[in-house]
Amino acid sequence: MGDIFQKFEHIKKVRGHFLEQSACNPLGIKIDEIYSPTQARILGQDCIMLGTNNYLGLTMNDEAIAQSVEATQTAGTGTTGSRVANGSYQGHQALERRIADYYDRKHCILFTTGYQANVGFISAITGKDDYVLIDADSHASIYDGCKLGDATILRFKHNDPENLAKKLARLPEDANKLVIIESVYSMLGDIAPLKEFAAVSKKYGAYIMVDEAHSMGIFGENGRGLCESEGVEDQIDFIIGTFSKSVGTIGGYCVSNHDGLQDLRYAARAYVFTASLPPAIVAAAHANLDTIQNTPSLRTQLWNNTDRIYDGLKAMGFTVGPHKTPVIGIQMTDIESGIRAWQILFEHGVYVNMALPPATPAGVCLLRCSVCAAHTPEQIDKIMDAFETVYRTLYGTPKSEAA
Amino acid sequence: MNRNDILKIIYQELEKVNADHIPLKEQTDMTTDLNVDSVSVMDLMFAIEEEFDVAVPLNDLADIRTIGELADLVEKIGAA
Ligand SMILES: Cc1ncc(COP(=O)(O)O)c(C=O)c1O
Repeated sequence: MGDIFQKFEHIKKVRGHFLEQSACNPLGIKIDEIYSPTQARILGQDCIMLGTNNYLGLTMNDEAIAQSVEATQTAGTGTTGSRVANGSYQGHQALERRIADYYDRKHCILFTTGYQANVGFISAITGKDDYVLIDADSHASIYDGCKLGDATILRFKHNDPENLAKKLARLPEDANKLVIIESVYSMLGDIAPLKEFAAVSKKYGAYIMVDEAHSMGIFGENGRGLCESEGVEDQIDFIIGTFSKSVGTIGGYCVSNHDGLQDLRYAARAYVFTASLPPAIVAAAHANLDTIQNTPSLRTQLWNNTDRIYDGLKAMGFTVGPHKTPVIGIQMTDIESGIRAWQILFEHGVYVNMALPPATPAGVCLLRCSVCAAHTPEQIDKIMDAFETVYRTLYGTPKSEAA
Repeated sequence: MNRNDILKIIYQELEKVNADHIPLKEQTDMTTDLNVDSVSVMDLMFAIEEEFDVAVPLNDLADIRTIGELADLVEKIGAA
């Protein structure tokens, strides 16, 4: 008998590198206690959370908590069944209608996570003779959905509509084609040229799906995402979303005007063969969705905070992503300086996420920061002070000072 | 397109990510012999696609392990 775990040796070597270099391992963090959407105690130390996906700070929204407690008391802690069996409660149906109305689309289908929404949707909707064209930097759930389906999968260069056009031009005219992009990419926070992608897809008769995981709640007058703010919603066939970022809970969905979306309730295995969301989660998502739509001031606050942090880091001299969004990926020159920076931040009571290849594009080591609407001006002062120390320690005088 | 030209581009692109300087041969298994992640292998396809004006589906790449197999695949798709 061989060693079935042998295949993990390489990744263990990379990760082991971390442990050797630091007393506390950025990839093995355990959170002792959560105080608020922006504060926690980690390894006995109080930290400002700058590494979440809690963009609007809604994880402790009073209304959502109250609704979710009530839902648990009336409907229990779980459904113990699939949506196609005993797991389709009134709450699930009401939430689907609420989301469809929110997006002004005919149909919405709810999944148990965003991961499952991508895997379920993509693998079910594409068949043997179909083509799926995905952005090279797509999220793992998009890749996995492709892997589980039967279609021919082509990758185009990241955020490159011209490269997509070249690939589409080769395909049989009468074949079904589905283009898949994200609106804001989760590592560098860079934004897709939606208008161009929509135009290319239309030109070649392809369907287009946009994953708005990191833009819903952040862009658009109603918070529907980048498709709303760019005014391209009517050109997008399918939007995939998640509750695990701005909505502050868990769950995923797909909305569309195509009546065929309803067929996924039978065809998508990630919908059929898993239990539906618990009543507490459904109620929390519903309440937070209301808050997102009705509280544009949360978005104003988030963007004000983003201005301070993104502009400040850039002025100091850090290499940040090309677009200003609440997802800020700071590129470190190598893993060693990444770890050092992470530790200095941690010692100063600032927690960020550390991201390594293959989860990052182009093999870079990233300090993945995410801004929250609930960060206070004082917390941002502390955050910027901590980054200044990092800069001085690693690179010398910040550019903002030298100038 | 010539198989040697394909190999040349593969070597050239792999060398960029072959940080451990492992010697590259046709028999080199890209999935186990090189400490190169799967994304880097996928990314090298863009250079090949551009150079030889082909589109290589991800599905076909799943079964490819060695540099020689990759060259065969690109040659086959180019000839089709
Ligand atoms: C672009 C993108 N899509 C989908 C997901 C999956 O979301 P969820 O956490 O709901 O499974 C994520 C989150 O990791 C993501 O970044």
